Amino acid sequence: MHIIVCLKQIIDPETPAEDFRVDPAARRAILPQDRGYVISDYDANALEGALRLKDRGDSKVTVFSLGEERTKEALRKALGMGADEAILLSDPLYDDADSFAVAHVLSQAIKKADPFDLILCGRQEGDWDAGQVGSGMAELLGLPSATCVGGIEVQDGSIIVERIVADGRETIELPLPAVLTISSEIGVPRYAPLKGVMAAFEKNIPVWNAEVIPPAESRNRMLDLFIPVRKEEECLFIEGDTPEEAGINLALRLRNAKLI
Amino acid sequence: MPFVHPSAETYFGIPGYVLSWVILIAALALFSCTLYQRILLLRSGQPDPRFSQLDRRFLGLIRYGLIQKKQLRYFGAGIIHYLIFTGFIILSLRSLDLIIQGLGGGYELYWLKGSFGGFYNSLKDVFELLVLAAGLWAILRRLLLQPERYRRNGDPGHQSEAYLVLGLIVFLMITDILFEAGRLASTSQVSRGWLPAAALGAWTLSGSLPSTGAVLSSTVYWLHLLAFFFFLNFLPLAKHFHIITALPNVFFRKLEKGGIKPARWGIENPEDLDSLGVGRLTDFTWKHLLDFFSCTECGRCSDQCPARAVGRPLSPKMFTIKLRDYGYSKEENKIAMTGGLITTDEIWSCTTCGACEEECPVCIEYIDKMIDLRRHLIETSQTPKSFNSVLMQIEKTGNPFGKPASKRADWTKEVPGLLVPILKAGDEAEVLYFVDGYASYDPRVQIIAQAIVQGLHRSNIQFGILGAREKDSGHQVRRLGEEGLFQNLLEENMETLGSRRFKQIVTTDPHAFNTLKKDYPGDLPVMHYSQFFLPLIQDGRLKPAKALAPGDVYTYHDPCYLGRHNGLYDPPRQILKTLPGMNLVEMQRCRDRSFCCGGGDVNLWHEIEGEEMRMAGKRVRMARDAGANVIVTACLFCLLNLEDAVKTAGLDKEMRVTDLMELVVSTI
Ligand code: SF4
Ligand code: SF4
Repeated sequence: MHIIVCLKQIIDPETPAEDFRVDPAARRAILPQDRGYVISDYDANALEGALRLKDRGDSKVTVFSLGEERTKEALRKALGMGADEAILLSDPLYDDADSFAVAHVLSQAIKKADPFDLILCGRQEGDWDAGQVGSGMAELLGLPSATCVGGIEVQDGSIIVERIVADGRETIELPLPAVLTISSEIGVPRYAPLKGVMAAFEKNIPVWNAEVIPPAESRNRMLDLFIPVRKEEECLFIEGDTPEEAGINLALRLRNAKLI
Repeated sequence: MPFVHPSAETYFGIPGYVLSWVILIAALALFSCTLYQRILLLRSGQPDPRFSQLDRRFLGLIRYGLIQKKQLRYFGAGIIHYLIFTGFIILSLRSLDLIIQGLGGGYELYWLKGSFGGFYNSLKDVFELLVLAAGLWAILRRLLLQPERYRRNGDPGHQSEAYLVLGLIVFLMITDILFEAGRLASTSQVSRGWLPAAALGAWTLSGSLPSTGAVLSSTVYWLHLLAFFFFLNFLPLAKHFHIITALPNVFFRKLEKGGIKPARWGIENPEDLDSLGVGRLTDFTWKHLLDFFSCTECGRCSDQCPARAVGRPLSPKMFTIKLRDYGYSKEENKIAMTGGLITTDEIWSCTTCGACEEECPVCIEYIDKMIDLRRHLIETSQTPKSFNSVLMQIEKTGNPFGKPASKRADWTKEVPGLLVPILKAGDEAEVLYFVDGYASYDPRVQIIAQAIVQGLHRSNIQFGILGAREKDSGHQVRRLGEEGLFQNLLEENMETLGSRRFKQIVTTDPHAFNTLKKDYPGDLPVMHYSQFFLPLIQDGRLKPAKALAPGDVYTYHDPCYLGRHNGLYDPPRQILKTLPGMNLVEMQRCRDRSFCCGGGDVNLWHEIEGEEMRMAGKRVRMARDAGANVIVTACLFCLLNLEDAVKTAGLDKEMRVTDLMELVVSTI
């Protein structure tokens, strides 16, 4: 089975909000200098899902990412975790691509690569949180898809997936090839030992640019970008000599605040 | 009736000496075959340079091999072992003599005649009695007292083998005594020396016919010979191989405690290796394979192992026995070794405390093996998920909390009236204080760092820290088996250290101290703070003046990486004794038998299922049993763990835990 994983490199989500600046004229975020970049969390889950399928049988995992030159770091990490190949899509013409444009470039690139059976990506990115690229690719490639997937079982020619839905879980069957967007329930991503990541330096990561995969026009327009004013919250510990007493004190406070 | 040697008689038409030759050749051939197999296995191991510092090695051979310094740490068993071991040395000459006697030559070693012969015969006779007594005592001890460390429950060693061998020893003694007695009874030859055992034997035989003496003599001779060669061939099959391999094993022992072997000896850059760590038996080094041969199954390692004491699925003795049986049984292709035969839980249960290695009478190593197994688990992504985020954080930010490097020195802002200098490239200071991750970011541990800088300031020491440029020392990372990340941290720290000038590095944490000293290249001048402050207190530059609160009883918990791995048992105790009003008691397990708090290395981030109680909980109980209400440590992991255990046990009103430096500063 050939599994494609699409992943995005994002700025470390642990970065405190106050480290970001906004350039209002250009409507761009100015990213802090000394923060690291990581693979977006759900995308890492998607890669883990693919590697678990690979662990179970004979599969090949290819990773695609659209980004800058430094995105190779993320791809090397994916190779260190156990992916077999990686392809970077990078060109200044891809800058400012919205979810549609990204889905377009990725799906064209995937079509150009070897025949595949399954495409996995995270249910949403860790930076913009849009959650549209996966479904967009399914649409553009004309493939069946399932979102928020927490478990995958492969059968002959089809897969059974478990979706995480608002009121529990739902199991559905899809024919292959298909596109899945993966949720964290699939499992904690494995650690990429540094030796594996270093070994990935030896591997060639092909870079495809706009000549190979022409960009598409973005369909969203940024109207404004700002950092919301931070609300100061106060955390209060309710004291009490015994747990019961603390409980009573809490109830009293809530009543005083007219909350109960 | 004159004495006729059994080999000079004829049995069913076959001369006795022919029988002797047949037995000898068959036994030696079989023995050589087994030995050859063992040597093949040994040679299939990885390289391991163990020929350095020959003087220290010979000294160790005398100390641990011949004088057997560690034996008496278990007194009863030690005495028995001394007797049997000394007997073995003395009686091996006798055995040689008996074999040569059988081959039909002069019937006796030439130099066992005459006055030396008389003396030697008396000596061997006395030792036969002693060894006989020791053998019987050992059997009874196993049967009646059943010391826990030999028992089968959960630790199925080779108990029956121990009985067989002890039985054989007793049998060899009795047969030789009777042989000598029969000879004494049936001959009036010139005296062969004072032979108390033989006399005793002869006395029991007195009254029987002279011919009985001759028959008996001949029977026991052959039985003795057969038992001897059976024993010889039995040796390399299991634990009694130690009789042959223990001395070489002691000679080739690891000389430097605390450090970790490189991923592969002789390879500079771990990236050049196809695979890291140990996944198959032959990935172990030859010395580590020799360890498996040499284990005596005495169980002292497991007896001291804190992981085993709290019910974790690890017994160092069983670890060795399983791997030995695996190596001998050629099971290798049938079940996986790492993660199969040795389960991942066993591998992660070890705290690398070193209690097992300290105790092992034949210098068997565990820590390096554990790390090598972990390296394999890391490489094959079999790491417990709990480590993932810690490793990722360290990789990303240089600290296990994932906090920004820019906030690394924030703790210094809270030291009253003191500006802690941050050394930039090219700066110089007398002392470089290496803070490390926990003391930089953990609010409880920051208090220790603050006490240390106050101590430095009060002693008028010109010092500085590295601030944002400091990275995690990598101690845990290396012991977790992530060699690649460790090398990265090491390189970055070495670069930072290399661009600043200082006379001395002082650390908060025994772990950072140990890794800078043992794992980093180039002999860094590093000291743990307890070592550094002791002379300052002694010469009055730092003066503990305020008396401690009366009524408190203190006990000192030896951190593994300060004590056992670096031999620093005394400096912290000496400092404690300078504090006015100090009432110090020792726990039963202290100094080199200290009990790990369970927090060092990787265990702070990983829970092992099946643990009956926390190691720290057990340790707090030991402190209470010693009558203490304050536990002093000199390691932040011990502090965090023990404090937690005191709270969990609901003892926080009666007991408290404090750091040595915190305590010192409180009296200034
Ligand atoms: S190092 Fe400590 S925890 Fe590990 S096996 Fe030895 S005694 Fe047990
Ligand atoms: S490893 Fe050492 S201490 Fe442990 S059982 Fe073997 S000989 Fe005894």
